[in-house]
Amino acid sequence: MKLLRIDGDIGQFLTKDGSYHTIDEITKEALLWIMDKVLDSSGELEPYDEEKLKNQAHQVVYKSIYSNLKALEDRRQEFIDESERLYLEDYKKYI
Amino acid sequence: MKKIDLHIHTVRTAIDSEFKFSIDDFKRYVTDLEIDVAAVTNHNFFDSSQFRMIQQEIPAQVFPGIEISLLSGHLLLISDGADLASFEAKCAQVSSKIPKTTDSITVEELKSIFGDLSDYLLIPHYDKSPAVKGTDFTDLLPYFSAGEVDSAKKFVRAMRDNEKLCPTLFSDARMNDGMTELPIRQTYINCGEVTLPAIKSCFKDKGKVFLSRRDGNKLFQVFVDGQHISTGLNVILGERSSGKTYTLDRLSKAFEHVKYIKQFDLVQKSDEDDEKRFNTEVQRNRSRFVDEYLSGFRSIVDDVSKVDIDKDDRDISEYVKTLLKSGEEADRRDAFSRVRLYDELPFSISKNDGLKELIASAIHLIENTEYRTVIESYVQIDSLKSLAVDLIQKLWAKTDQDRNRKYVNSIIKDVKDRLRMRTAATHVESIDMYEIALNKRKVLRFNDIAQALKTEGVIFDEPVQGFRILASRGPFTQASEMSSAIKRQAAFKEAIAAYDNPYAFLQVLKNHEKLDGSDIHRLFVKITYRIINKDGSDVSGGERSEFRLLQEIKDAQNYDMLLLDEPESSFDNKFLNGDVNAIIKNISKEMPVIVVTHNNNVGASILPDYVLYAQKSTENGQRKYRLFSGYPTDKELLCADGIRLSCHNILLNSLEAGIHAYDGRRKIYETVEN
Repeated sequence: MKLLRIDGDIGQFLTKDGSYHTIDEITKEALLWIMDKVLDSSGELEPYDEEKLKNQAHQVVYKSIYSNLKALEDRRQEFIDESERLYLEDYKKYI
Repeated sequence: MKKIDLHIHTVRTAIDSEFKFSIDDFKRYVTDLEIDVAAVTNHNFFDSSQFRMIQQEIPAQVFPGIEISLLSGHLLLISDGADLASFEAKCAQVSSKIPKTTDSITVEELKSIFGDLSDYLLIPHYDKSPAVKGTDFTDLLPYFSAGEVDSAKKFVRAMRDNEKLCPTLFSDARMNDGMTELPIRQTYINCGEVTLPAIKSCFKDKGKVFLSRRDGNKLFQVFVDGQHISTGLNVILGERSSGKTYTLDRLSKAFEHVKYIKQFDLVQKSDEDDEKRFNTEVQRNRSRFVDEYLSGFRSIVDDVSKVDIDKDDRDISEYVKTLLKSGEEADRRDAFSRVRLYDELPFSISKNDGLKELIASAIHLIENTEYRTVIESYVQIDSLKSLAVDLIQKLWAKTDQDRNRKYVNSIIKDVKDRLRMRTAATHVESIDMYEIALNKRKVLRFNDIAQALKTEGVIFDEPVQGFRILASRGPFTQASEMSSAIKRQAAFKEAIAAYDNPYAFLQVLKNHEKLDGSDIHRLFVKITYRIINKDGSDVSGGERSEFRLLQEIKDAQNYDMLLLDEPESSFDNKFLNGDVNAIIKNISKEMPVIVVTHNNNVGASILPDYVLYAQKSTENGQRKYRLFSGYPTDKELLCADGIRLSCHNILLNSLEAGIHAYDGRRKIYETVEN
């Protein structure tokens, strides 16, 4: 399942209901949902491709969102480790 | 046997509080207390002319000395006085090096000023503040003859411990004009001719150093009239208004660090007040435990307080908004906004905490000696060392990379800032998705922990002298309970409305004007205490008093003397004869204990080491108070003025209401038994 994809020459993002929308319609809520999916390893990010994306607006938006999400994906394991260790000692003590 | 006091002040120096030296009071002190040997030891100062005058006037042998401020504590250095001019010159060097009260000299300086220290008698503040410690102590140890302590308790303790220096108890008194209470801290030495070498030789043999003239270390002097008491357990008997409490009051004034449990102090006065007071005391004594229990949660609260989820939300909004706008303007981009760096994201930089913890864990495994065999049965230490080296190299590489990335980020930011100034294109706000995602997790985990803390449960169960103290956690149900938790008046009506959502609750507390950061973590969970008795029920009023008495007596271990006035006023015989007697007896092995009593369970069954009897009489129309004392096995108790009384009569009269009542009771018991 692709969270970000280039369909033909259109940049798209996946939403919670499973449908794709063009990248220039992305909202804060949709972006937060995709961030969670990236960290859960439950989706892929199709790399930015200037050749495929013809629409300049899509190029700008897709490139920025892809780069940010890719940076997050690259640190996924670190994130998992860090969030598992978060307050772990006290978590065990109080729960 | 010689009575010595080698720590006396006769000049007010910067370290001393105000006093005016009086040779007459010095004389009175030496005469009334029958001092044989004294030493003048002023702070970092010696005055030979004053010393010569003292030598002539004082009816005792007096040595010249000085109390020197070392870095760690104070040291008495006493000379034989053979060359006063030379000693004064050396002391003047000390004075010049210590112009201010906070100054001190080093051991090297001490040695360079006084030369061979074995020519002097050196006595450090030992079990007395400020004590000579650390390297000062170890460097000078070969020259120490004895160590000064400040109570009979510490004297006896050092005497019993073979590892400790021979203890000395000195007055450390200022010979002040009009001195009302003469000091009663002195030491006895079994010494013939009094010379400095002879005194030093006595100190080398603890068997020649004592607290009292006649009874070794069993007794010590408490009043100027020569009254001694035991260093163990003393019982003061006497009729009503015969001066027993007065004697305790005098003792409490004459000594420092005294634990004084006054009569009726622990008696229940009103149920509500007593319970409140009792709970406050129990709570205060255990607050350290609660602080420790909540310390982890406190760190979490501190950390989560820095998280601002609303701001993260606004940042994402701003990012999406500016990004979409930037997209719309894509075809209108100018030369500046088309520069690649204009849209470039900064590198996301990790704190490398996971890697650092891994390295620490590997090093922990390598360095642990306690479980070395177990560790080696699974993995070779050499492999662990290689692992640690690899991880450390990885961290170095990442640190290098991060440093470069930070540098690049600063360049990107600089270029972007410059481009932004020249272009009309919308600037896309940058966001740190990693940080935002982690903040969300932090809040989730914080909420879980804070909610879990509210679930009811016992967090602390401490058995204390037959009772049990239970500390429980649970939720706050009223705003007023929150004020009690921080022991401060503050309104929490608004806050408690958000109590079910810990993160939202935290935001309200953060903005509460009457709270500072150190209190916030206490407001998430209510800690309550219960004391239960042997049967598992809540304690009654009487049991509360018993518990407090036992706690107070136990607390006396932190003091140098325990005074206890008529414990029977508040407690029944069974309790006194069992728990109280046992604990008093125990504590009297460590320190002097003085109990005033009329009760035969306390007075006789406890088997005191020493008996004192207070007596009031009228002589020539004048009221006269006397104190008789002696061992319980003595036939007679002796007063300081030489009058004697039968010990047997005193015990029977004081504890059994006289021989007739005692016989009568005995017959009743025999009849009942038969």
